Amino acid sequence: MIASYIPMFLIIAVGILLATVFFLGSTFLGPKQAKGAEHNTPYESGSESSGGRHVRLSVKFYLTAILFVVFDIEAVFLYPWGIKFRSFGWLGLVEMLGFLGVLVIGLVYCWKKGALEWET
Amino acid sequence: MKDHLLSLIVAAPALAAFIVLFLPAAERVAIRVVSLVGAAVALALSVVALVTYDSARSGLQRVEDYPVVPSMGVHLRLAQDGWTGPLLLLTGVIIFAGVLASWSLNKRDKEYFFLLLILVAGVFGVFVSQDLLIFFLFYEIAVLPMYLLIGIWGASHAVPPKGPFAAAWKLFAVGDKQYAAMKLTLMLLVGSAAILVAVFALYQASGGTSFDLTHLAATKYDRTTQIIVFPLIWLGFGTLAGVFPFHTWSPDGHASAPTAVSMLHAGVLMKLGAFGVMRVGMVLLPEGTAYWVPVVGTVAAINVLYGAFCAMSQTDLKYIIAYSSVSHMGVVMLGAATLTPAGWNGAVFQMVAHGIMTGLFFALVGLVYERAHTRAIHKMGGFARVMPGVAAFFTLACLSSLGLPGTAGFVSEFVVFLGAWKSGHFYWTIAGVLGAFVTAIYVLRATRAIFWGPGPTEEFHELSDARHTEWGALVILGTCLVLLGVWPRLVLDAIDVGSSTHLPAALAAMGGKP
Amino acid sequence: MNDLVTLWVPLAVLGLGVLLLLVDVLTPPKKAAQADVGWLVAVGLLVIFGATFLVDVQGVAAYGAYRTGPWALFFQRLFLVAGALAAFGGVEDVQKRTPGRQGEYWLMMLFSLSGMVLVPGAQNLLLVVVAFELMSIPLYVLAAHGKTDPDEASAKGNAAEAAVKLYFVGALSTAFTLFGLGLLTGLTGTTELARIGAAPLQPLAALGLLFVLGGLGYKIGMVPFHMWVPDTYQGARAPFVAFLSVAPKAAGLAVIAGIFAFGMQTQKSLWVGPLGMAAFLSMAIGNLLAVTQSDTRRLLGYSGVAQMGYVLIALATGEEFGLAMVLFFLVAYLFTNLGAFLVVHANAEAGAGFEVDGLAGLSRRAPKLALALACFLLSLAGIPFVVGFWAKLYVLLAAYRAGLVSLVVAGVVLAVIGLFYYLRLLRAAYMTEPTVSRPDERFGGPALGLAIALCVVAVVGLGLFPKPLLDAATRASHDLGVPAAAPHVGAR
Repeated sequence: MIASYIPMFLIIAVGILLATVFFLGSTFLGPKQAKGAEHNTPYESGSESSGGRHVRLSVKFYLTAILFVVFDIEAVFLYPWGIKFRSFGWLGLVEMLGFLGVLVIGLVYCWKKGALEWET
Repeated sequence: MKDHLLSLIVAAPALAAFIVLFLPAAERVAIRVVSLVGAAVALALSVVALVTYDSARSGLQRVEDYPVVPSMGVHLRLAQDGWTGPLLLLTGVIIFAGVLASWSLNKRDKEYFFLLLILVAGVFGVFVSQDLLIFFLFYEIAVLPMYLLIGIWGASHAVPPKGPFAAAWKLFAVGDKQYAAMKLTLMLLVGSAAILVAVFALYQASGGTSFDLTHLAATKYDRTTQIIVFPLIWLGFGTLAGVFPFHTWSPDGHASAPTAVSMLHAGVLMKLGAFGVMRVGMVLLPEGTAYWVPVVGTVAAINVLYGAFCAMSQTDLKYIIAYSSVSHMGVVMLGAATLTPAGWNGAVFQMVAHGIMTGLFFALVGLVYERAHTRAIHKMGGFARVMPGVAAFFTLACLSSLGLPGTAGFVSEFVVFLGAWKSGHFYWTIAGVLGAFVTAIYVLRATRAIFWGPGPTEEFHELSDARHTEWGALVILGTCLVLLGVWPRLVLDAIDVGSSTHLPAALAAMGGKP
Repeated sequence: MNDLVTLWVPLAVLGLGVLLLLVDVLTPPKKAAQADVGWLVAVGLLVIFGATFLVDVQGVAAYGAYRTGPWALFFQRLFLVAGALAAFGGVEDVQKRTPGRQGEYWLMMLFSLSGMVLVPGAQNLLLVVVAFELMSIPLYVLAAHGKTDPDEASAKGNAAEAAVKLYFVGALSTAFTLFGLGLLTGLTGTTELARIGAAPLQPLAALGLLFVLGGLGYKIGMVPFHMWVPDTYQGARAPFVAFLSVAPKAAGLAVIAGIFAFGMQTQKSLWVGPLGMAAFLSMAIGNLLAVTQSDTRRLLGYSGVAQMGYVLIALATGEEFGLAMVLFFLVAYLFTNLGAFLVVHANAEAGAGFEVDGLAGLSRRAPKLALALACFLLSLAGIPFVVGFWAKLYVLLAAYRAGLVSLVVAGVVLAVIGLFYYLRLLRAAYMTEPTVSRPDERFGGPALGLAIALCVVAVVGLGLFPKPLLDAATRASHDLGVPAAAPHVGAR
């Protein structure tokens, strides 16, 4: 039983080995030169970055993104449904209308709650 | 004979309790009257049950059967056997007297009477149930209200935690009377835990179909089961019966409890324990009993002597009576351990006799304490001059306690010692007689110190004798005590029927030999 | 069409949610602060609960991923009642705390419930996970709901802490469960519960089972995965905790029973041991730690851990009878624990706080409330004539029948320790004098009173007549299809 796991253990072992070899290789074989201030800058070939690292984005971005994802993903359901539309028959139509109805109610909810207002 | 007498006896106090619950707290008289009526109905029906029990026919009578959980064989099965009648009567008398004795209570009366009546319904239930699970259920009902009854209405007199767990108690801020209440509840519930395991074991070993006591008694359990299960039952119920060394809750509990609760607890509840040991342990498990009975009897003998000696060294009146209960319960267990018809008769008779006697004692102690506000006997003296009635009844209880012929105490002790002698356990008899002797010393000393001795000191000149309802309680209990002493056949006949039905043939055969 | 009918309970709950959404949106903002949408939720859930007795639907939906029958229905009724009681209990609190925004609270609750009612019917690991997450995620939001409380600065931090703890632990538990389920699926090649146990025993399966048990153990607050329980219970709003402490636990147990007792029945030897161990640890640690608590919510939290131990004992029998006792216990626990939390909440509403000492003199200040508390505490402790007694008794009896005598003894002894702290609460309520007397105290509104009253009725009623519930539980456990217990030979 354990024997069947041998390939898995082999992969793990090879993975660890490879990482170790590359890491040690670059340490021992790479050029050893004095590192100046230039070396320590975050991006050596571009312009200096400015400002703090923690940029606080407005929560509105997240809200909009989430709403987009929600409605986008839900709309994706329409495509496979459309392809099989005929085989589902009337029941399928009613079910999809119900689904879209819920989606609309969701949209109305977002709207009324002010989630779509940018300037508040 | 198809009637509902037994369920009515259980229902009467329960019903009264619920009526009390819905009365406004301000209606203090109404609450008392309802409680008293509930107790009186139960008492009257108990008398009817005892008198109409057909001794010639023996066996179970007035069987009532209501399925509760049929799929598991749980039935609310009530029936009356020989022992039931006298014990019902005892309970009825005590609760009736107890309600009368708590007439002057003036602290949250509504809750008090509610709990008191619920407790009594549980006690009645235990005595009449023929289904082990229901038996256990009623037993719990009877044990638990005690926690609140002692914790709320207990004596203000503090009982500081003692012994190895004292520090732990204090850690959780459980001191004084609440300590006594908590200790009592927890000890009794550890006992219940053991009983519950035993109940499962019996149920499963008998096929797992029914909790009916008759069914369980008809099953032949193998020897190992019996030897393992019997001590669980003995110690489980025995904790409530004050079996040494699990009696330590009893003095603290009784001393802290309010009057009626002490009466009920020492008078009836401790009997439940002994009743459980006999009715469940000994009847169902003859082989286990035969194996353990030397230990049971010896421990009972220790109980008799140890309780008596402890009582002798007390200075607090309530503790004296409490330890005397431990001693007298030893007599009950001793009688049970003889495994002779005489011993069993004596044991059950002693339950009744001691129940009434100790009820009377605690009622009187309550009266004295309420008036004198002290329970230290060395402060009292000559009280007979100011409360002659109380003194007379106290003396009567003392005489019964030491087993004077003509009182109920004599009959029971005599029959028990007779049984012990017949069973061939010579030293049990010695211990019993010695215990009776020591009892005589301490009760007489206490009586003399309180009531006779040199006249009452200045502060006690204004003490009054018993009043209206209190007289009722005293007279009822005193009458029963004398009545049973001069006419023991009143209950002994029925008890005898019960003992001969219950004493398993296997045990009766070896009753004569140790 | 068939699928929709079979799935009608989850759909109805969801429909109620959508209805609520509309109501919430269409209420004019001026009236929003006064709108009693909570009543709508409670009544709606009760209507669905009533309908479960009228509509008789059994069968499978979604290609066998969902099956309804007595088993699923039993749990669904439990969740609906829990939801309704929690709604009654919380309606005033939510309105007081977040006027104008009550809708959000109830929406989250309904969405959580719609996931919950899917859980017991799920016959496929995929649906199990999805339904479980649908249940869990709204709970994280609900836990933080008290955060917007304007007047209590301290409550702010607490609710956030409660939510974060619940969230992180929940996420971790999901990860655990998923990993375990992944292993099981990988080993057996199927996600169908009915077929998962058929594969031959493999060493990795034990590991997978342990992970599943651990992951779900978090949800039900089983030792050693119980650490979040007291903190979350203390931090979140009490009416929500009342819900949190019963319904998700029942759902977790439904999944555990589904995967172990049903799916992995053939490999019982693998999971009975760990389950019994967890049962013992839960009882022991829950009961012992509860003794030292001074906050009633933490105390009830630890007591809940201990109660779960008793449920697990019955589950560890791995038999149909034991399973029925699990169901019985869960219903008993639902009414008892929910009621206890609501009483504690009512007392805190009167300004007495959540400390044990805050209960002082409750029997004077509010005799009915104190009586209710006494009922619940006695039921938790397992005292006769309230439902908790039968629950404990049956669980222990099932364990005894299955030969788990050591667990029975441990359970019985630990129950006495449990009694100690339940009596402590009772002592505070009945034996201590009120510290401050405020004649104008208000112990919550009528809805809260109604919820507590319903709990008391259930606790006492089922305590006197346990038979209907027992029958229902037996039918439900039979429906799951666990083999009946082999005749066990007593304690010989």
